[in-house]
Amino acid sequence: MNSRRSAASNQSRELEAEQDRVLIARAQGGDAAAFRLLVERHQRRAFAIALSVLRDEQDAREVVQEAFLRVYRGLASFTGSSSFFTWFFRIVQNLAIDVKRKPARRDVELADNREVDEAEIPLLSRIDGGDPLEVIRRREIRAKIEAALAALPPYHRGVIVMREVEGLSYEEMAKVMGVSKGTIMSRLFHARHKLQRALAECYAEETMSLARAAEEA
Amino acid sequence: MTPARLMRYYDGELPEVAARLVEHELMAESELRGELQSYEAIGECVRQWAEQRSRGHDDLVDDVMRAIAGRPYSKRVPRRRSSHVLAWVSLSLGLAAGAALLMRTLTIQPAPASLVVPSAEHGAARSVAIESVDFGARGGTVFMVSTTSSDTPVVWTDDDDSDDDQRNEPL
Repeated sequence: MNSRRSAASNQSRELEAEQDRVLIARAQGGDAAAFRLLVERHQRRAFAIALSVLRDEQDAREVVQEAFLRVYRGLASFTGSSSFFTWFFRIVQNLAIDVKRKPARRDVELADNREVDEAEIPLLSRIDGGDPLEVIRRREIRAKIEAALAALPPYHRGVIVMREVEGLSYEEMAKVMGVSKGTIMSRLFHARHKLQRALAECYAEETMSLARAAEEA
Repeated sequence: MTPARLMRYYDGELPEVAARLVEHELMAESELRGELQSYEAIGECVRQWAEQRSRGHDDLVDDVMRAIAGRPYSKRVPRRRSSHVLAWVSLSLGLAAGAALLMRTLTIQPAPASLVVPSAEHGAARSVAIESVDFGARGGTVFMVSTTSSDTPVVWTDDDDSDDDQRNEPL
């Protein structure tokens, strides 16, 4: 089942890469609308990658904007021998790491500390969690996972976002991060292991409260 | 089964045959299925996190297009640092070759005792004569350099090497 999903994902990635090549060729010819389309196609993913490293939305925005400007300035040097998104994501990743290393960078990450209101509860929990207790439980799980995600080193967070959100293969991630496939696997394994522990704590708490409720009954 | 193998299966990184074997093991072992489900739950949470945090940032395209509006796209490929180095090396070699040629030409023709310098206009129609050259405290030589169109006098003063001596003194 997983291999089929992977094959489908590879096919759609190839199609996407081909469409990118066409847009780049048009942009290289001076077509601003084509470049705009390219930005529209990749802005969200680029933002997710920058955010996974920086965790600050404003910083992530600035990094993505700068990355697109660099792409624009370097359009002539893009020959199409590699896929656009690995080239572009690498620029985003490197810029984000540069910003992260800046000593004057603000460490206040407001978005992580904000209160989550009802409108922000994921669609999934609103749909299948008709029971308010279930909604609360899911919200707690998500909060725990998010806290664990926030506690991960940027390289671990980056790799899990690239895999789970962008669906990049180990090979592609290795190209973007400039490391070996083995390093990618190691980072991914450790990231998942830490997140699993957070998830396990949630389930342990839930199991204990269920046991307590059963005893009281 | 190793956790790394299960992870590769989940990520679709196993070859077809190996993936089938993992699926057989999954059917038999509930613990493995639990591990796989935890990967899926984590993946779902990460996707929701990214989705939620990226929401409201789809307007980036406008900022980008505004930023590039003032910078027309240049079709010229930016020159790499190595090409600059190459340009400087070529220039240096050219200058060195020119200097060597000049020196060779100068040494071929000794200076005559009296010089008659033709003007630039109409060859020898008008000319000026150099009576004498004052080299001051230094020595020097006067050469006549012949080219295809005219002869040009060159005054060559000896180097003053007293400065060099001072530079070589220990500080």
